Amino acid sequence: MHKLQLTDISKTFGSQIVLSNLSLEIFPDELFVILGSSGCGKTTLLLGILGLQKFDSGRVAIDGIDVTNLSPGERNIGYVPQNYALFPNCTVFENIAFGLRLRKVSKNIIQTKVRHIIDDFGLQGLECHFPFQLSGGQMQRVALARALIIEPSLLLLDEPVSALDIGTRQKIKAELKDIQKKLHITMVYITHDQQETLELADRFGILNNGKIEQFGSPDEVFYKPKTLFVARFLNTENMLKGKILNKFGKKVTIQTNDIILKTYTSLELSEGNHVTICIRPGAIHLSKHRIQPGKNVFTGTIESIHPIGRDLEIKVLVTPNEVLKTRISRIVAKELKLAHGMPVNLSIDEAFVHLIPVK
Amino acid sequence: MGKLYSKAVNKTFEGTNYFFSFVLITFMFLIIGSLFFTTTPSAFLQQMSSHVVLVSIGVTFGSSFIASLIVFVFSVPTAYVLSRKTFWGKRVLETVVVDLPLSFPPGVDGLILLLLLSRTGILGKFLGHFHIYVPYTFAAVVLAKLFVSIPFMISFVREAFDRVDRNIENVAYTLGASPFQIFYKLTFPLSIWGVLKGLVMALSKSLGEIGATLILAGGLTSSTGTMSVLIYFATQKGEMDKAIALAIILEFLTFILLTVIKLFFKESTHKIHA
Repeated sequence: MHKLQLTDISKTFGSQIVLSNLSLEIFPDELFVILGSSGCGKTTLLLGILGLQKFDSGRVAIDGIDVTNLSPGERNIGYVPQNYALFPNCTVFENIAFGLRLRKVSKNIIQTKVRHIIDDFGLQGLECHFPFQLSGGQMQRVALARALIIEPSLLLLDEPVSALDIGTRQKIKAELKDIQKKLHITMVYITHDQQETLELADRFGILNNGKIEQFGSPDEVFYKPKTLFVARFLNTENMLKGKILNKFGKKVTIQTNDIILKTYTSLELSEGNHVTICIRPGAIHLSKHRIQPGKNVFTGTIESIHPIGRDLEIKVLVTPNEVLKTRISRIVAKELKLAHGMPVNLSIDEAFVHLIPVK
Repeated sequence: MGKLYSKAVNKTFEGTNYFFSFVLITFMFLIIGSLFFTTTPSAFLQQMSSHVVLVSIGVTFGSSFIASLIVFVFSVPTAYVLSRKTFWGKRVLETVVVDLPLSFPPGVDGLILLLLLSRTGILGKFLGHFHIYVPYTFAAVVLAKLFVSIPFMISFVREAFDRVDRNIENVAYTLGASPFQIFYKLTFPLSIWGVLKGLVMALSKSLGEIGATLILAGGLTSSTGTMSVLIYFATQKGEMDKAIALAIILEFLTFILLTVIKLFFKESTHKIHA
């Protein structure tokens, strides 16, 4: 039940600004994901939180206590790096017991605690194995056990599943979430993988240009990006340029090239303002049958069908200048017998038509 | 046609590789093996019982062993600093401590040391106050070997430290380890084979060192006459049996040292990085 607060964190390397007045609060017991592309400063931020690198300015506090000037060991933060960094010259048991031995915990207590965590993490029988004798998943568990046995205030994970195969990755992600809920531990998880973020995060923040561009729950950020960068970074499939036709309270009507969309917004917009409209494919319902005319209902023809993972992405030409992308499962697509050029009907849920003001 | 041509090119390429490798290997074996064919076992044994030869073996091994110990004590911390710390002038320091001595001919090393330690040299004057005179003594032999082998050792050890994953050290820091604990529990044990390899390279370099030793220590007295220096003087005087006997011992021991470290190094690398 520990809280992490970062206030006005800045870091530069020569003339390159890596972190710029970054402030963030991570709540107790939450799994917070920091999402960003390579080189955006994720690792610098993580090393700074751990105390392995000094920030130029700013404050790091755990439960309100300033730890900015404490050494990494004094901060009591567990750390699982990308490559697990197990100690190659130590057995599984010695790896896990490492932190306790440094704390001069008695041998009996070390034995009990290590045995207990080995059982919890399903590492029985591997106590005397060296890291090179373990599989990726086992190494990951040892790294987690080693970090958690010291009962850290929070746990920092740097792309911990990126080196694993897809099957193990899914399994480990589920286990991580379980461990987090079971131990009530605050976790900060760093990744460049959107999918991972959406699957794991209670909340997440997108790091860009040294700042958290937007943070919130996955649904909040995914469906309601605040900036064009966030919308693009999260691969918002439908981004249309539009102009506000009229606004009554929160109700707003927008004109794109050829279509008119209706939605609600709390943004301060007025007639004639230019906006970018973001719509996720999941908010667009596709039907072969006629849909009752109403708000955000369109007819069009299928321009293309592309497989995306287990789903199909259907591009529908609504007008000669406007294409909307939607997604449906392969099974549904088969049932509907969709084909190129086929006329279809689309309806868009008003709640998922999101606007970003164009500055 | 195109396929035939490409096949012919590949065959020629392979054939050329084999040919040049064969010529080189044969040449090397001839050089190394020629020593054994130019003497007889009785001549070898006779030289081996000579007082001068036995003393030179003692001087060579004694001085090389002491030099390697000193090299170890100074190289490990220096290599650690060069590997882990970032500071102003680091590049210059690396050039002065490692690159320059590595590229100097040993004769130049000997001359520098002689100028420094002679009665009129900066260090020699200072030591003179304490009635210590280094040139042409056993200490000079040690110093010459040390000066020549230390850049090798620093270079090897630094590379070994560089190979240790920084994340391993980072994790240990977060678990509460001090820099010293990290060094002796992780960094040093994980670099041990690199350190040993460096030590053996330094030792083999010391064993065969002649240029610097000859200039700084002379090699005419029983306390400074190393095997290499003796080989040089023996060939000058036409005492080929003595020169060959000493060369065989040196060659054999260097071969053993290098083979042992190669075998160990290969095994340890597999264990750590598998």
